[in-house]
Amino acid sequence: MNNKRQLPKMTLLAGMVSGTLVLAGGTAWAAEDFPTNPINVIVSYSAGGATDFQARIATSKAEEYLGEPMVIVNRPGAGGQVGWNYLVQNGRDEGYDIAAYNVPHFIAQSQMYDTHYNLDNLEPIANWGVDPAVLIVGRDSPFDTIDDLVEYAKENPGRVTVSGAGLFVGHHIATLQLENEAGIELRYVPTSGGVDALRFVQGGQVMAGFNNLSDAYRSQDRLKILGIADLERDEEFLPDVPTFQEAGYDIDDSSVNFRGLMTRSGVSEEILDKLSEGAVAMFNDEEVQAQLKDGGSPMRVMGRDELSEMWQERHDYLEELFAGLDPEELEEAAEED
Amino acid sequence: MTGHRQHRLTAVGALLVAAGLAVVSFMPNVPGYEFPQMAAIGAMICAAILVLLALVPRQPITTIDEEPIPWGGIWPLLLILFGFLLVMGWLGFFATSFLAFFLITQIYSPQRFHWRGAIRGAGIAALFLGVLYLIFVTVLRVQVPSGILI
Amino acid sequence: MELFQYLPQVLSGWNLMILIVGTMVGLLLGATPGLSPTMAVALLIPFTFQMDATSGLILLGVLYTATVAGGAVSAILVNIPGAPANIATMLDGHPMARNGRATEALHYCFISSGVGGVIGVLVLIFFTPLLADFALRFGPSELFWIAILGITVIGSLGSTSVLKGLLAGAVGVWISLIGFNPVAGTERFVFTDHLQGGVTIIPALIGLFAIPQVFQMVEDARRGRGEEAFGMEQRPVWASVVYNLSKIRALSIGSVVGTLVGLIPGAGGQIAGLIAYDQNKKLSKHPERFGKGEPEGVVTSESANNSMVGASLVPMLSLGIPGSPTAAVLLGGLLIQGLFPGPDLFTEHASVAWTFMGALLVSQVLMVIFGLYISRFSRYVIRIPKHHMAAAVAVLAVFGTYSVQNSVSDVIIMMTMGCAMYFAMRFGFGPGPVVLGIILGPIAETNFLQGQMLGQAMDGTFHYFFTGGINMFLIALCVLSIGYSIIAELKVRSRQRSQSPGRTVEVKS
Repeated sequence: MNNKRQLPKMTLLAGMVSGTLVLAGGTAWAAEDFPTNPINVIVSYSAGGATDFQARIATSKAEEYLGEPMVIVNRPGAGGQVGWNYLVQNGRDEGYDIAAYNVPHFIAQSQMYDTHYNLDNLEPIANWGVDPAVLIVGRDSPFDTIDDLVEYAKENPGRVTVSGAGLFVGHHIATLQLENEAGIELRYVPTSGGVDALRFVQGGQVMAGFNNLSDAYRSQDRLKILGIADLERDEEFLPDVPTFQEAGYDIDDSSVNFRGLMTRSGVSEEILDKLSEGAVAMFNDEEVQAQLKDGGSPMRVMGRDELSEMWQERHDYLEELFAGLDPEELEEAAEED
Repeated sequence: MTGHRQHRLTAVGALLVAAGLAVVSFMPNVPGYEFPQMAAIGAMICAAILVLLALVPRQPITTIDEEPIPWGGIWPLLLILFGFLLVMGWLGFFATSFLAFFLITQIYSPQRFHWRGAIRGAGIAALFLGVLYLIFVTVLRVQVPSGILI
Repeated sequence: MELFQYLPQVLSGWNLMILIVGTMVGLLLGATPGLSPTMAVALLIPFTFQMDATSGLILLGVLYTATVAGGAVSAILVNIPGAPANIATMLDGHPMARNGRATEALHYCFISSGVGGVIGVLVLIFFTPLLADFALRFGPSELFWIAILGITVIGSLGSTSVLKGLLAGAVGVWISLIGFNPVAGTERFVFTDHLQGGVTIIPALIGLFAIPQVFQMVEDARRGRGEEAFGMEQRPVWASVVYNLSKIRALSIGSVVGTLVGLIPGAGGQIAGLIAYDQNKKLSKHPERFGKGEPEGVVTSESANNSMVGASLVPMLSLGIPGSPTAAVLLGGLLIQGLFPGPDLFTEHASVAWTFMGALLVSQVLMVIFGLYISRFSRYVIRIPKHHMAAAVAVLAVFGTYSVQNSVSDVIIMMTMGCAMYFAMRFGFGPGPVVLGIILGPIAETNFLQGQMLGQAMDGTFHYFFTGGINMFLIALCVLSIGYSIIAELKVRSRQRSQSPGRTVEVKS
């Protein structure tokens, strides 16, 4: 192109364009300066969902703590696989591409499906939220306790429908655990998100459901919350709801939904530490904490070391759980139609 | 009469496309493909009726709504759009858009090519993209593919 | 009325300023071909993070209203719908513009949007608790039948032959099923990694409508038809207002259908405009005028499109379930401003809720005023030389597609579908049915699979889908809709055959 000839005629525009060129070209990628650009945060779910909403609040103070803002990029699809695959396949290893994760969801998916990501090519950064699965039934449901539901399911095997936010998310795992522990057969109906799963319970389309504590807490007037799949009661939000263990079912906290930030492996140790420290401080910011609490999202801030340990623990447990399941049943779950 | 022939060809082509979809949908022998199979069968049925209506009567009953493809006019645009995809990741969105904008305006300008017109075209392209850049990148912080240029 | 208590706050200095600027920006972004209203709202939401709650909520409300209305402008002037909801507007709006009635079409579009919008917001204000329970009654079986009802609309979508329309619709459904199915857990037809996320609606919409339009425009430019576009008639606003408000049937069909469809979570307010358009066409004395520049078509689809705005907020504000994709994006912004969906919205968070509603109501009025004002400038848009317009639309299409999910795959999908559509259009296939298929395919499949699982757990799949009041009502609507289409088709055909025996007969759907 005859770029040279145009220049005199539109000095202003050319100046503007070349000015941005210099900016883009002069960026240094050294770890000491990190970050010099906005950081992209991939959210594997569509805008408006619980993960998206929490991620937006949790990262809102990035400019203050890391020096650059975090930009949320929604890459929904394939139950989260699209976004996470994108991170390990197309993300740069310079710390500018990070993603929000959902444990145990992404670990279970990497075990059950042919995904590009797994624990080995991902690096944890920091955890902000913890959201246990709770067992809910509609307001007019005849079930008042976990025992009521289990008893009914024993008498009517396969007739109790349970909704959850998708295949192999925490809700699904809690359902599998309950089936194993109580020796009952439930029919798990995956929906395309936690909100839909909640709607099915509220509207009476399903008999029960596992859902996020935070979402169930917000719609309590249309629901009864029977049990919480965690090791301890939630004293702050739902002090009266018993844990499954109290009710006599040995279900631990494996289905608890942890939310936080991760990046692909290959990012240098210094950048990882910088990101992690900044993120932990950001999640501990009073305003961020207050905003998340207002939204009914319980917080637990964790750093890199604690997080790697937790990931590995979940990974091993899930492997055991899936191995212990009837292979036929699993196949059915994976190919339910 | 050519219209009629093209009409028949369209019907047969549609049937082939629908059959292609059906083959792809029925090949994997695992559950979970029922809906694509239904959609493909639906397409096949429509295409089959289309073929019957177009081939059997001597005069077609359905509307002849086919138009010839103006290949002479569109191949440069096809090339530009294809090139856009190829070059965008390497050169960057704004640089590629500038080229595409400039080429489209120059090739399809009703006036004959003239240096003066080309410079004006480049100016308009730069102005348009400059405004786009200012609004979306500077103010709204939209991310676009960036390559060796912007 | 608590609303009036908070209105002065909405209308005070700084907030009024936000309202006005928000309306202008929203209208312009919504009107840009290649940029969807959903996208425009998503882009502007970050600005509300830094504001105090009142201003932030006002900006959100005004953006939602203005972008949805703005989507119709590019449909009328450039023949590219801003959102799926604007496809129906395009069917008559663009022919009107071609006949030199662009200003008039824009007038109807904004007036009807205003009427529908106000009705939607009033429904939101007065009937939210009542309608929330209604919305909850729509389970998988009901949503499945709504999807089927949507498919029966294909016949009205303006391709010349119903058969070709149905064929294109089936192909659209097939395309929508590419990718991962979250219910079945299967990955289908992922021939390349680019298809992993499936074909989503915005890239498909932009590709199917904008790219063929680019081809059309360069072809026009090359033939020398580029400079003199269609003419423009002057049209006084008052005449449009009088005419528009006299179209009571079109307005009421639009508003009622839009409100109902908007209320139903998961049905996607995207099809509100199309269903309303179809209903009005079927009830009209002159169905043959539709698709050729019938003002009623614009009136119905735009009033439906905007009454959906308020209605889609009913399930969202009371239950946290967004009724449309744009509402879903808006939800994130509302949550950050401390507006938490739920029954205590009007009691505990009254000030926040009423401010937002007030902003919605005021922004409807502002949208009409500014919309009518910018209608005068449509002649400048129309006068842009075709080759410049083509280049701009091509660039914007790529930009608009990429920025939805920052995905190059989406751009590739958009381009491929767009080029394929251009050739398919030469063979008499229209883009409308394909888009409708892509919207409805996943709704039908997901809800059918879920319904099947529920049915098996209860009294059988058949029983589940064919019992219950709403199900039967929807099935009846489907049967009526199909029956009407067949009868209308036969009538037209027999009339034309008797007129010209033995000759090639034109059959218009």
